[in-house]
Amino acid sequence: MPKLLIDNQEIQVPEGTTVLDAAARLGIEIPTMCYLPSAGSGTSCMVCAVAISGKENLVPACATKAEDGMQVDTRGEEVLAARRTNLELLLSDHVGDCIAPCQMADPNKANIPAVIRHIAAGDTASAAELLAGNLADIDGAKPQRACRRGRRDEPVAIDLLLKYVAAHAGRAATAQASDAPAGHRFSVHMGKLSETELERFMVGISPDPQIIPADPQAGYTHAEAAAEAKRCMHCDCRKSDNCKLRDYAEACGAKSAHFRTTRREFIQNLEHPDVIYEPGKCIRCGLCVRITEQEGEPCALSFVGRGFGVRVAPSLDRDISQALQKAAIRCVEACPTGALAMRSKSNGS
Amino acid sequence: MNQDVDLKFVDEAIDSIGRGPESVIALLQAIQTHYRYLPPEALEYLCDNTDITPARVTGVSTFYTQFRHKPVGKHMIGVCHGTACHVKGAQNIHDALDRHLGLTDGEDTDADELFTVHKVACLGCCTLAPAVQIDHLTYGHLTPDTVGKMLHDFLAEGDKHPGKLGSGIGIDVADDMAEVRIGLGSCCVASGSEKIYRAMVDAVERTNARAVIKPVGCIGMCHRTPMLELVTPDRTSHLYAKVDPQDAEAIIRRHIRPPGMLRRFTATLRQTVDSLLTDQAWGVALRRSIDARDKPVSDFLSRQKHIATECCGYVNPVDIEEYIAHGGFEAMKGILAESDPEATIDTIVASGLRGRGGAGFPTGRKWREVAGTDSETRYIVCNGDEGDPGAFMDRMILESYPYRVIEGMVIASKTVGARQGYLYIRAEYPLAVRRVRQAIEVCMERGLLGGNILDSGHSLTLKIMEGAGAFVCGEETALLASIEGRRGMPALRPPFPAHCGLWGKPTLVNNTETFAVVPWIIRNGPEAFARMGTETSKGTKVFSLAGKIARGGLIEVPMGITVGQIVEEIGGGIAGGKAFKAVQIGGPSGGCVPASLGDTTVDYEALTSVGAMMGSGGLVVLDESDCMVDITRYFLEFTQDQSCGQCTPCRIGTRRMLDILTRLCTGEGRTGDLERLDELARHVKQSSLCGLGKTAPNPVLSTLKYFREEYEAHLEGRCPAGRCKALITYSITDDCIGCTLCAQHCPSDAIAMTPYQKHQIDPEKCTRCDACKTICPQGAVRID
Ligand SMILES: Cc1cc2nc3c(=O)[nH]c(=O)nc-3n(C[C@H](O)[C@H](O)[C@H](O)COP(=O)(O)O)c2cc1C
Ligand code: SF4
Ligand code: SF4
Ligand code: SF4
Ligand code: SF4
Ligand code: FES
Ligand code: FES
Repeated sequence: MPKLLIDNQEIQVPEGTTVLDAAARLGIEIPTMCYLPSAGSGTSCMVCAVAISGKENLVPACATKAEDGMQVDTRGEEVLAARRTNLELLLSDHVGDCIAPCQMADPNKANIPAVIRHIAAGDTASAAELLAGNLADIDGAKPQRACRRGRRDEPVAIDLLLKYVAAHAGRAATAQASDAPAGHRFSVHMGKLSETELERFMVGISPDPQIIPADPQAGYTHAEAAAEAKRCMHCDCRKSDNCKLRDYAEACGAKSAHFRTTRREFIQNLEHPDVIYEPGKCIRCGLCVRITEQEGEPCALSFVGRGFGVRVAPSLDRDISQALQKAAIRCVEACPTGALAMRSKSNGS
Repeated sequence: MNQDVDLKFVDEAIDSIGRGPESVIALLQAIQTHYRYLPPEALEYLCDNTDITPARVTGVSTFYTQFRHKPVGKHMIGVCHGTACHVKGAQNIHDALDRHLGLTDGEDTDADELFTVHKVACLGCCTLAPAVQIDHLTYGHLTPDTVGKMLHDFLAEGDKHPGKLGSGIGIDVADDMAEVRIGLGSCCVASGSEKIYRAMVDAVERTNARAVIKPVGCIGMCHRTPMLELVTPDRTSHLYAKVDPQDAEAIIRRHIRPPGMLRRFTATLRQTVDSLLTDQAWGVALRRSIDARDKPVSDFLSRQKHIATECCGYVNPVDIEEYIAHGGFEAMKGILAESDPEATIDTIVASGLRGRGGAGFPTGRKWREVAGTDSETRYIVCNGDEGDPGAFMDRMILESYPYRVIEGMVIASKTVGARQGYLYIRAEYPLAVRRVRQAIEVCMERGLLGGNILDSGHSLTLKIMEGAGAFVCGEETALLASIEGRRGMPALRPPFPAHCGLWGKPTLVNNTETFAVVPWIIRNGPEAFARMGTETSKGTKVFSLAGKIARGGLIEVPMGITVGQIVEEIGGGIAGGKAFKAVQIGGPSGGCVPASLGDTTVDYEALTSVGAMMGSGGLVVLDESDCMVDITRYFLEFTQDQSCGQCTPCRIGTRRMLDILTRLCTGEGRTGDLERLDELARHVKQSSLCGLGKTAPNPVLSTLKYFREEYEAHLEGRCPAGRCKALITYSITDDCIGCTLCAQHCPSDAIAMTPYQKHQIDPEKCTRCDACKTICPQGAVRID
């Protein structure tokens, strides 16, 4: 039974216990990305790296066995810096956005992708609900300009879609401040504010606001709006509320641009009916590779290539729906990032 | 699906190789040899008919560079991008090849599907750098200008490749016969020794001279290849360097009088020879007879001490009788008879032998660890992967002294109690594989291997595992994964292989050279070995000396010799009168020792303390025209490509270092780049999982330390050494005599033909291929 010191606290653990588990017994949490008790460690991410006195190099806590007399440091300067750098390196090779570019570009940071998904589903009321109280530039030009779909063909017509929601949400209207320069209009997109409330709000901005009621007849029909909304690529990450990379990066203050050079292409693989695979978000942790093997998938996921070019893909160039016949849900749950996610899952809706 | 692929071969391969997952690499190798690539149909079929899963096939076949998933041209051209070739302009050769074959944008096969060009890391003929291999022919000393001629010659000559000569073992040499020794190591073969071998056989037949012609292993003097040594019956030796086949008869007639009685000599001693040679037109015919009293030769040889390379240059590698005649297997017999493993371990410990694979772990201690494990089964593995792209010591040892390595392994296996062993040999070393295979067979026949060796009760079966092209597989845990038929991904240590190695069993992994010195230590006693060297590094070390050196080759030197002595005394200083700048030691894991630290001794600790590493023994000499930022970029390009891709610091960190270095070399450096580079290098070193990542930053750290001003110059857009293409311009000085040679040779029409007048280079069109500079007889081409 080795006895060791972790962050100066003493603990005795059974032979074969990892430093990670030993620390957990002391209530010390060490972040992990490529390790899960059910699928072992890939000794890959190295965010669990800890310092052991007398050793020159840091070691992964998830795979290092506790030894008698070991002195482990899990939160010293050196350890935190290495963890941050590893996260920065991972982020430097990460393609994908936690938050969609349209949302980032919107002055009110409204969850536009979610709004669009509601439109696509024909649920204008929920779309309106999401935008409730948001005062935004009615022409939606900024988010539309940022739309990633524009790089493929045409951007999603966000402006028209927002107008459509405004018009169909009932109480929406456009307000114009009397002393504002011509064409500079504000709107209450929808929802919570009634015309009176809008007037009251506008008083704070302009002494004599002009309220123009929305016209539900103008703009998109339901079918047109739904069709346009379906062009949205869902750039916002399905795991943005459940992503270890994002959480740890935030916690350590890792800067994603620190080592960034060229970026890979943003790809969405939709071959599987339920799962979306976005390889640009994969950190090569190997959890899905190990899980598909454990589950006995006949055509499991595999590492392809090596070095910086290594990627995760179904073996023999098959389709990902063949690789995830039994293990889909386990893989999605295990995947520490948004690389593997349920297609139906979307944040904010 | 392609109907044309006949899958019968796959069945045959499965039958002969096996159907378990551990056979996957050998199966893929067989499939590729047969179809010349891995047809998807064959892979599907393989999965359907063996216990190998699709994930295994995909993972393994995409991990190792040897495997190709696309059909290839009729001939394979391997352009060496090893260190020695890199510093001698391999990229220019590659560009010239692309131009000749009309390859653009990363294409690798020409339109006629005649040639497929690929990069290789060290062909093991660094002294002939820059080198290119087309199928089995190696061409050396190329210039961008001779590339066209090479292709032409290959098409004219190459197809006449007569195939292999028969192999014969055991040659009787009567006392009154002269002996003609011809080096048939890879370098010698590449520079033409096979032609000379044939010419000699013919000449002996024609003149009826009483002489045997004997292929010997590497002589080490690769700078003088092809070499020939003629020993007359009175045992005087006559060395000939840079021999031409035409001279064969003259040489024979000069030394051997025609016999009184015409006893017809038939060449019974034909040896396996794998490749043809360079066309004779390649080498300038600088022939002369040399002998060991010749100053340069005695300098080259006198500082050396042959232990691992004992009998260097006079034994036939596969002739077991000869090996035995020189004391071979004596040490092994002694050990087998004695049967006290503890005593053997004590001997090795007392000798101070440390592993020659790079890290220098004390060998005796490692043996004790393995011997002390509690297990029925133990394995022994010889690491002959040698991936350092500028080193070829282990290749030479395996090719030239296969019995010695086997003897060392038998001794070790007896000591640690292993009955099964592997020799893991790098894919690019076919001759080594063949020789070792042959040697194993001979030993099996003679009871020197196999069950109950020499009635001692000890058994050892040896198998050869051919690598498939992955530097990281030199790392011991990756190597073991590879033997098990997996991707060569290193594992966290501990547990060390000594406790948990091959298939979870205790495994002794030692380097080829380590095993090769063991018999000497047993025979001569540990004290004799420990007498050589320094306090912590005993004995000798084999290096391959290459780069900008006058006399390159393979050398074995006592530890404790200084780096400067190796360069100046053994290597004869820099070729071409330029200034000595630095020595790169240890390849991609090592560092650059600047000329100012030339008195650093060859010693594990001393080299590490100056930021280099003993490594496996690659020693590449650099002169003032070499750019340290470019060299560093070269190594990082290598390591980031060879990283297994498992852990974040190495997979992404080495790539980001390369990004910064590439920026510097193309004049796009940004403020803060040097600091970022330094930060990254320290991080990757500190937190990578295995030795590859832990040492990959060494080239960066050592050059940043000793040549920081060169980095700063690059940051300002200057390359002081004039190497980085984006930062230099070519121009013609007033020394130009208007001979038009440069204009004739410029592949991109950047020089107008103006006979008898000074020529001019159009900087817009110039691709900096260096053709004009190489060809100009006046030295009138200038680089700024
Ligand atoms: C990236 C890397 C490459 C290596 N390549 C080799 C090699 O080519 N040959 C070798 O013997 N050892 C190589 N090693 C060292 C081996 O891991 C191991 O230490 C060695 O084979 C042990 O033998 P020794 O104790 O006789 O040196 C390499 C290590 C690393 C990290
Ligand atoms: S995977 Fe994580 S870090 Fe990447 S986009 Fe999704 S939430 Fe953000
Ligand atoms: S495609 Fe959709 S999620 Fe992506 S930027 Fe455009 S609107 Fe936003
Ligand atoms: S897809 Fe997810 S689970 Fe699979 S390797 Fe990538 S990050 Fe890990
Ligand atoms: S350091 Fe490099 S080679 Fe070693 S395990 Fe990590 S990624 Fe693989
Ligand atoms: S969790 Fe330990 S290395 Fe990834
Ligand atoms: S042969 Fe090219 S570097 Fe060795």
